[in-house]
Amino acid sequence: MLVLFGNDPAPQPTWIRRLDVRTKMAISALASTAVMALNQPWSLSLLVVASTLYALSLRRLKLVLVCYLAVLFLGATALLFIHGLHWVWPRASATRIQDLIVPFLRTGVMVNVMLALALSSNIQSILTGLKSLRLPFCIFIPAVVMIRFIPNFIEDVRQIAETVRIRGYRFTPWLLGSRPLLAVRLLFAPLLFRALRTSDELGMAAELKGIGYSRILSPYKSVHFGKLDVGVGLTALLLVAAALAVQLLFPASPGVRI
Amino acid sequence: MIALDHIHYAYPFQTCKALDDVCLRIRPGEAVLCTGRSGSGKSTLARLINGLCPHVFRGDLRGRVTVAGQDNLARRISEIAHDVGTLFQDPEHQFFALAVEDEMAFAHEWRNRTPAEIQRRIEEAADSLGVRPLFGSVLHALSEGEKQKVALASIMSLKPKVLVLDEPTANLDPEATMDLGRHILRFKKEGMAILVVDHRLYWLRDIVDRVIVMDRGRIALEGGFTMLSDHSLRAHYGLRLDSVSDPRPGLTESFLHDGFLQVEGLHFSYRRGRDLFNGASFQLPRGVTGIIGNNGAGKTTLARVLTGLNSKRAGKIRLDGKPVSPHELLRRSSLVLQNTDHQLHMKTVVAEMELSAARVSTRLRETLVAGYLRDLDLAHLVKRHPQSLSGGEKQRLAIACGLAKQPDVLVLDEPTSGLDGRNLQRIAAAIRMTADRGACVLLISHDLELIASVCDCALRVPIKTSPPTPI
Amino acid sequence: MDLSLDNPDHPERVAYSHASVEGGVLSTRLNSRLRHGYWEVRDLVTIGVLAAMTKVASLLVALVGGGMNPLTLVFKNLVFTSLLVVLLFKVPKSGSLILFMVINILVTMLLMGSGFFLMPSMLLAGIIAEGVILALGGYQRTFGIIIGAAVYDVLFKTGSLAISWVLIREQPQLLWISAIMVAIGYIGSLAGLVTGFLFVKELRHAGIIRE
Repeated sequence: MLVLFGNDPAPQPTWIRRLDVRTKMAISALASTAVMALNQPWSLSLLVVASTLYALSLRRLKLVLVCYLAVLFLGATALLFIHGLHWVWPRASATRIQDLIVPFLRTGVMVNVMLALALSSNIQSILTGLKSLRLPFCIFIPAVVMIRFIPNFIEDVRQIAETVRIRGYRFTPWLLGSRPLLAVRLLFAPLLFRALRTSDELGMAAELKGIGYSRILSPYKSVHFGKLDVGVGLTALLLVAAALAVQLLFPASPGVRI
Repeated sequence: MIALDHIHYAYPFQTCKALDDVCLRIRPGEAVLCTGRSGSGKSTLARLINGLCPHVFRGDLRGRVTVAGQDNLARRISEIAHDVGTLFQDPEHQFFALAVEDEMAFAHEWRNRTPAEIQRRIEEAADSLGVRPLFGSVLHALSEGEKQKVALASIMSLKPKVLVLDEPTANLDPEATMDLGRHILRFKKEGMAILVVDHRLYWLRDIVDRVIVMDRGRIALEGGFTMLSDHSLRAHYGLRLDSVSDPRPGLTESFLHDGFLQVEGLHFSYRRGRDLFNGASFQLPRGVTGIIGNNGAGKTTLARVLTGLNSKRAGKIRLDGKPVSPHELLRRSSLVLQNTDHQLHMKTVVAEMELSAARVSTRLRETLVAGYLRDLDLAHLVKRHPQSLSGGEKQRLAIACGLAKQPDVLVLDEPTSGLDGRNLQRIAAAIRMTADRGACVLLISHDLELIASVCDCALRVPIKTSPPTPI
Repeated sequence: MDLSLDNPDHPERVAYSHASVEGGVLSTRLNSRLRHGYWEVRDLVTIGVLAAMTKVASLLVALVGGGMNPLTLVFKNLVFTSLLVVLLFKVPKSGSLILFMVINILVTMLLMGSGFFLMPSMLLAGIIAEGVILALGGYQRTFGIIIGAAVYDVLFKTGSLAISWVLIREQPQLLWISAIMVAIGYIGSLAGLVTGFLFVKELRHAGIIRE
């Protein structure tokens, strides 16, 4: 997610960047539902291939690969953990790699659509898209504030880590494990106070700007669905339908083996 | 336009009144400066006009506040906001959007205006403040002065009748301060009623029509700007100077003094960034050196490299003739950053000080801590939670913590923004004392009064190829 | 001490009753006349800021502590639950908990395109937890808030387990692993109730949360 907040100097003008954020969200939702329903390796593979193409159309090959590696690393730590568990407690049987195919394919689809959404939108376009979602006031305001402040807090964390270094401590897993109370004190206490102070200040500023004077917002810039959105949306639907067809024609046997 | 009649106000759970029988009238086309020591009730006055008191802060109010003929208590804040625009010290925390244009449009979007009208209004306001070229920029990439102008432009696009400015210059450099002054003068001529609450006085000399001096919740004095030229009056009410001449050109160069901190062939650049320092060599003496330069010239970065917080790409740093590693530098230096919230971690003021003085021997620590707390007028606050202190008190505590570490190199980044005259002098005295003890103090500041009172010499950034330093 | 505008004894005096200072539940007449809907902009901003902070804090724990290991799991849950407790004390209004969760999921979906799975169990857990808080005397009672947060954690974690069963139904043994991970995470949540409450006490001392 950090990548999202970096100042990307000149994003490459690919089609995926011209997609409405709502379309991308719909695709993510569709993919999530689809992978829940499907459990046949071939139908899932179809979606993995399609979603990989979708993610690669970002034309940020290096970045996408780095993210894949990170996900693989997380998976590997989980596996190691599982094996460790098996070692202390043999009843939790260690699973064989081939048994993990279906869960692995599901994760693959999710990671791809997630990357495509996260890496193709900048925050301001998400904020603009959010206004077009016509959310109720009580959901819109916190959502805008949250998105607006995530980059700020990341910067705050950096500064807090620095002041801690000035005081002669360093944040390491070791500090977290050996002196958890001090770690919480040094890191989370300033962050929490900062957050609450910020919320007070911003809340007042909001009132002084007359936000909430009307409960409905009339967007200054709005986003519109284009032909591209319709085309991509339809393609996504067709792909899911195809995957479903594969699943129905060749049902998965319980305890899939390839 | 603004009328306050016999106002008595106390914040919730406070026995002491924040305002005590205050009467004030401001007419359209009139600008009034409100000043006074910290905690004298200046900000409360501003909050009463824009409705934050009592609508947000609650508390107990007697008397009547009317703005544009309407009682503030009978209106919601968002309705008062149609008449009153408020500009704060730190505009960063008022922004809802990330880009300039979206931010300026945001308040209009809630007033259900058409996109065409929003565009017309924000472009007009942006043109009048000269921020139109910034429309596509990201807000957090702007300088403080630019941010302040964007905030002002977005207020002006709403066309309020009253403008309240609460310490608008605390984060601004002298040039941006004078620029803000010119805009205020123009708004005044356009018929706005303006209240400026500020500790810095000099920039308002030809701008305000009247000055009120607050003291313990009451209006102690009211008169023309010239009354502030009385030295004893300023000292009595803890005010800053009424006129300041720029001390920066007159400071001697740091390389003319004996070097204590010596730097040779410094190279530094941020990742993917341009070179900020390319083979710079210079030396800094014991005593106070002002680091002087424009925004973005690398003043703060230089300070961070010199305290070992950022590691340089190449170059040698010596302290008192001996080479030191960044780690060693970090151990022997204190860096007091602008943002005090980040630097306070503990539950009480005294615990905060003791954590900073952790390397000082236990025998000396107690007297040392007590001494600094007394010097910076914090002794009565030892049991308080650092985050419950006022802005000025937190600033003093962060500085006290920096001093308690007994550093050889002390770097202060804007230590006096938003402080009144009395506290400015306290901090100046503490800096002087540290310098006299033999430390090398680096001061990064826009505050001309502070520079004039403590700096011995200057290091100008970007660093010109100085004569070869004898190491 | 509800003295409103038209109090005959003090025609000019307006005081807000102290009970309404933070809560907004017992509003004075003046207050309710000028109120505009259930939520105030300030409440909504606070919810948004704290939601942003939870995201950043869990990101941070993951960066400092590394991937899926017990330490990270415990800390992540600890931070989340502490912040939840702080929020419930800062914005003590029925619906705060659900709104906080909805915003968290919505933004996760917008920024990351994930989190769709968690929606149903989160909503269900949120509604039940709000009910528990109400039943225990509402947002004025410290005890009720803490129990509410605890109930939320238990239900949400059970719900997530059910969903992970759907995802890994071909390999029931894997569910054991998930269950153990969730249990370890829950230790963090329990500790988070305590640290959250300690933070609230400290925030009261600092005057940021009023009693």
